[in-house]
Amino acid sequence: MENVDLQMLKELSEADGISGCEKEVSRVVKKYFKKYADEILYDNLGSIIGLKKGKENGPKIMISGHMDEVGFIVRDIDDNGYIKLLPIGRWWGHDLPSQEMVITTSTGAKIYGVVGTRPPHGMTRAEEEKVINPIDLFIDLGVKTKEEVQNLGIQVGDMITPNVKFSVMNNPEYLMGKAWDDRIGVAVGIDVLKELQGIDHDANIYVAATVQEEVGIRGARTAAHLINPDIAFALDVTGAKDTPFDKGETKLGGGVIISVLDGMTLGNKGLLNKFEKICEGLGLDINYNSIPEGGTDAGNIHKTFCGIVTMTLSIPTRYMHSPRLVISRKDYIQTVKALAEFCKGMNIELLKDIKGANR
Amino acid sequence: MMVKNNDGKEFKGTIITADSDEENSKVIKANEMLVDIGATSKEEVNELGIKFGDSIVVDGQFEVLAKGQRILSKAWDNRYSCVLGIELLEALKDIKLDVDLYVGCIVQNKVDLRGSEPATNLIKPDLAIVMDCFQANDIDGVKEAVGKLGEGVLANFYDKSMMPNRTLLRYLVDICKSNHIKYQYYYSMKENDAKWIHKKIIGCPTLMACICARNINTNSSIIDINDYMAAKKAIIQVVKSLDSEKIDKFKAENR
Repeated sequence: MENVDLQMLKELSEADGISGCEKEVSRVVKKYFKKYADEILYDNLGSIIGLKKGKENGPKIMISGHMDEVGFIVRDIDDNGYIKLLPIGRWWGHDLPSQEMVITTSTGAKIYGVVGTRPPHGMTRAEEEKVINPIDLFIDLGVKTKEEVQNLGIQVGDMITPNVKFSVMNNPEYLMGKAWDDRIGVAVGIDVLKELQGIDHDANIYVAATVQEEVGIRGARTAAHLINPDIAFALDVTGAKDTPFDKGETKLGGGVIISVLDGMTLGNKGLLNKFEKICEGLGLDINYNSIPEGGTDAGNIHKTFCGIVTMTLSIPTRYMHSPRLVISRKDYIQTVKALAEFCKGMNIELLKDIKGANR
Repeated sequence: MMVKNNDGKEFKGTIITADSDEENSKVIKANEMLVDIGATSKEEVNELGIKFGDSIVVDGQFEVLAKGQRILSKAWDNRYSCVLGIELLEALKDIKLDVDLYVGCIVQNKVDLRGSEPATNLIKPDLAIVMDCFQANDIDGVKEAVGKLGEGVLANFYDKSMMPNRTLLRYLVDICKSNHIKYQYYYSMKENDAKWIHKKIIGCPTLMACICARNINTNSSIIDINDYMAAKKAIIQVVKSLDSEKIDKFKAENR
């Protein structure tokens, strides 16, 4: 796969879907699952799973990327029509004043506004240096009264997401958009199914686009329960450190990133080794990540039932949990290649080897 | 305080403090407190059958207040719902439902929501309604504060432990509107039993239909009867109207 499906990435990035309200994203995913999967399944929270069948007794591989992005909900509408926010997922207040936001009403209508801010004139030094708490922010819809807001169909609880368009950057390797966390993970899953078109494989591949990761990795539980896989890969983003603000090894364009551990999961040793060999065999660039905090869908998948052999693959991104993230195609393409190759070759014997690595 | 021994016998007592001089007062940690039940020696306590590990609760009187609309008591969180659960069964006893209704009281909510997991595993619900008690925030006069006594059943649009099933929540609000039942939007940064109920197994649409109380987690909490009645009416209407088709729609809301 040398070409990236930019249209698919655009649709995934631009779809609005916060935790608990992922329908728009789910519909985009369904469109691509219909092309590349044999069967589509759902759990009762909204995770959508595309199954490409292998042999009936073949091992079950789950590939999990979460659909929900960080955003807000309407907490209150004041008498002058200002919208008070409740953050869903973690935000840094610094990223928000003067950002354009879009509210999605219960009928799917999109209403645009801007997060208010303060002019620098007249601020004390202390005020200038204080970061505003996201829950203290508000959106200006350009209306005069609460009634006007209600007439637009907006209700308490409605979803709010950044109004950001997908774009290819000045060097086309770089792609900018909202919600790469974790729509790029979802995209990897879809592209793995695409890569496997016309190929016979033993394994049954379940690509799960899960819900509610940002509020507690909840959809990963229900999806794992539904699938009961033998092996699972979580795809999620990791912070790139290659900007003037950061120091560290992780950079865009470095290739595959194998997550050895994070705050919730120790990558399965047998699986890590096997995957590494596959990357070597394909001549891909391999990096390792170990971040002792945070977690991915793997956190709640690997402990399900009697335990599931699980690891996380990370796609580096700049500016996580902000309205505009930047990723590199190269990392994405290499991850898809490696994962597809793994899926092609997985069989019962290899599964036994992997499980046996810890016995 | 009430100390209860293994045979179920209760003994009244109180927490003893050193001189409570306002200037020197500080908050004592719970595990540094002493309960005086009027015994003068360890032997006396043993004679009363009280042992290490026996439970102690904060005692509080049940009292209908002033104009008869509000009630003072300990443990409104969450005993009101135990009563409401029974009253729901009573109200629905001669009504034919399309669903199998399990009304239950969960244990060990206060120690990290433990009882809700086995309860959910036992029933494996297709849909759940949680009746819990939340803090009223109506004494500071802050307009956008949530939880006002007497303003009706809580339409909880966010809880730290659960994102609402939005279709189901809207369903509750529509039922309240069309039946002239008072309701109020609420959001909570605490957790409740819904946390496990909605995400166990393959998940289930879960509705929080709760009421607020002042002084939650003290021995003198206050509820408004009208909120209780609003919750009761609303939940009865919801349960009566449920069928497979509706439940499937709730399950599919994000599809």
